[in-house]
Amino acid sequence: MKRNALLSRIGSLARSGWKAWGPGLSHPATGYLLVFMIIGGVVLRIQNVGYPFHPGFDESQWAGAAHQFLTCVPDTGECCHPPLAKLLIGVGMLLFGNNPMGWRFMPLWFGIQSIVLAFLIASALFKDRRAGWLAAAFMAADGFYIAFSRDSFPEAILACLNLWCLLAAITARGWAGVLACAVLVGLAASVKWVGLLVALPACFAILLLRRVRWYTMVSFVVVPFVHLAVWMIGLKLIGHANDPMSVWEEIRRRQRIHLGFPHHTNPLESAWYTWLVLYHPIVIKSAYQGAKARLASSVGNPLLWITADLCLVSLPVVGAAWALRSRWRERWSRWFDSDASKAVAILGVAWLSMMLLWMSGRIVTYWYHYLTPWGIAIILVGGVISRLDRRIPQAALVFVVLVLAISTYFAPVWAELPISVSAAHHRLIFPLWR
Amino acid sequence: MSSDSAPSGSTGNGSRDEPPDAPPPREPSPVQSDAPPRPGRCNVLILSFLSFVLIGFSVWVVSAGSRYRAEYAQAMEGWRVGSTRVVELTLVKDDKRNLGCAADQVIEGLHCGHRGDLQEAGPASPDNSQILAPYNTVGNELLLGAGLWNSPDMKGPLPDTRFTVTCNYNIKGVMKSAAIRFDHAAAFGPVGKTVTAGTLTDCMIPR
Repeated sequence: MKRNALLSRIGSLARSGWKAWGPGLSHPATGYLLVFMIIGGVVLRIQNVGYPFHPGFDESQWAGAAHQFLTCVPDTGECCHPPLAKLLIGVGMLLFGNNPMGWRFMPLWFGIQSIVLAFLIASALFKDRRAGWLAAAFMAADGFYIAFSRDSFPEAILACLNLWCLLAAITARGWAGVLACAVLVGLAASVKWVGLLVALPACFAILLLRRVRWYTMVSFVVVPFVHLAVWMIGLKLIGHANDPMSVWEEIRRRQRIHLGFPHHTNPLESAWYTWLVLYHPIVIKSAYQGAKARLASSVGNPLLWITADLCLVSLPVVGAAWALRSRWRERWSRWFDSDASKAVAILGVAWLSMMLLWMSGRIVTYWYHYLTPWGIAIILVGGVISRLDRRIPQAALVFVVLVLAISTYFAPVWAELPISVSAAHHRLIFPLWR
Repeated sequence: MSSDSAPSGSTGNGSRDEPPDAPPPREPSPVQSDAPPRPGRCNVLILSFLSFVLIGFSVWVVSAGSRYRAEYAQAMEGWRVGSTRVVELTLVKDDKRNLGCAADQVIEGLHCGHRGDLQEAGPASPDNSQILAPYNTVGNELLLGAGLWNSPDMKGPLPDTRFTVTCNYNIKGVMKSAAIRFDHAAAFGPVGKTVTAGTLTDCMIPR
């Protein structure tokens, strides 16, 4: 009797918890599928993350440099970036040692955080829990993020810190929130300098949402100091002179290396506009066991990709029509209320801001540079599908089913599950995807 | 004190017991209102918890870093400071003038021919038994050694082709940030790992 009472109590708690914090989509099946996608995405990221036992894509550079920071010798492993990603990768190596698990632990940790951040950002921006669940599920079930969460490479860390910046800007209610955002911008820029660009959408969000006074943005003066502090700690560790002038010299030296890379020499190079059509995703890890291949391709979920492209392209078009024609304004407001409109504008600006450097053509660009903008696009898709769920729940359900089906099909080549070479080639159908 | 804690029977402001000439009641201050606390204010408890976590994390990083260095910094297993090992080095006769290193560290009087800023550290001579130079063993292990060219066997005519030499290597310490070169005209390049430094004695060319 007591046991039955306990079980019924647990059951009622679970039900009330599901009601309070669950997806709450119009069609209950959609909610269950989203939960399944999130759990599946986390499992795919974690399983066998220490495999293969040899370095994958650029892992020897980053893990090698992290090892040099930990053993306090000059960093010759990686030539051109600020030290924070190497220091963070080093934390994983402190936990698990100088082995594949140690190299990949921190990118995995940040990759899983990105799922939570997608939920928090979409929920806060669209003021709708459904948008949060959809964005988190799409982030969890996307191969681009899965693959880079399992590789000792800074991109997953950078993308996650950029999302943290956006979240801080969106949820800031006073000086402390804006200051936290500024510190995070400094940290993001200390992973890769492109992280500095996240300050643009952060300021835009602060101005548009008007939850804090505009002058709190003066907090952003701490960004260079945070960046300098990270450099000073990093250079101190490797026995390099670490006074501000020496840091500046080192920054200039690395900047020259960066800008000096010639275009069109690396076969993996890809222009920014090719990212929108999944032209040249990279297989970042590969290993073979007997007749089976284990691949980590960074190709995304094609359905999410098409939807994101449609949203990103139609956003400025519909925005212009909205500005010019009252009929369009009425149509728009049927789908997007004031909060959702602001959310769409912030995400659009964020996507564009994070693309600016790559669009400029100043430096050589690669597929993985799209990871941060792609995370923002996923959140946008989550928000748009949440509006679809309000008006046409069956359509949202069909969309989620299709995303899940495609993710299930691609999962083996995203998360290094054993698969025959021919089956892998069926999935990575274009030569440039292999 | 919040209005919640006012004694019962009193409003806390302008009660019936106040004299008639008492000043008019003031507007309640925001602190006294029943409204929930403003969102976004720093919660002392959260800040304390975060500080605690940060301090704990910092302590862990420092101690784990020391352990990591102890485990991995000694690149070659069994090569301990203070020990002597027999090493077989691979050389060509021009190495006498070609090999060099740059570092500020001085280990028991042993030092590189150049300082960390790449300026010469005094008169350089390969015969100086205090000046270190980089050598590779036949097992491709890098070490910094001094005194190789002072051994009697190395003062005679040397083979024209690549040859090996066997020495006693007395490990005096570990150098962290040395730069090395294998050609007199080349630039110094950072080693990128810790390197043992010591003296090379009793060197012989196997006949």
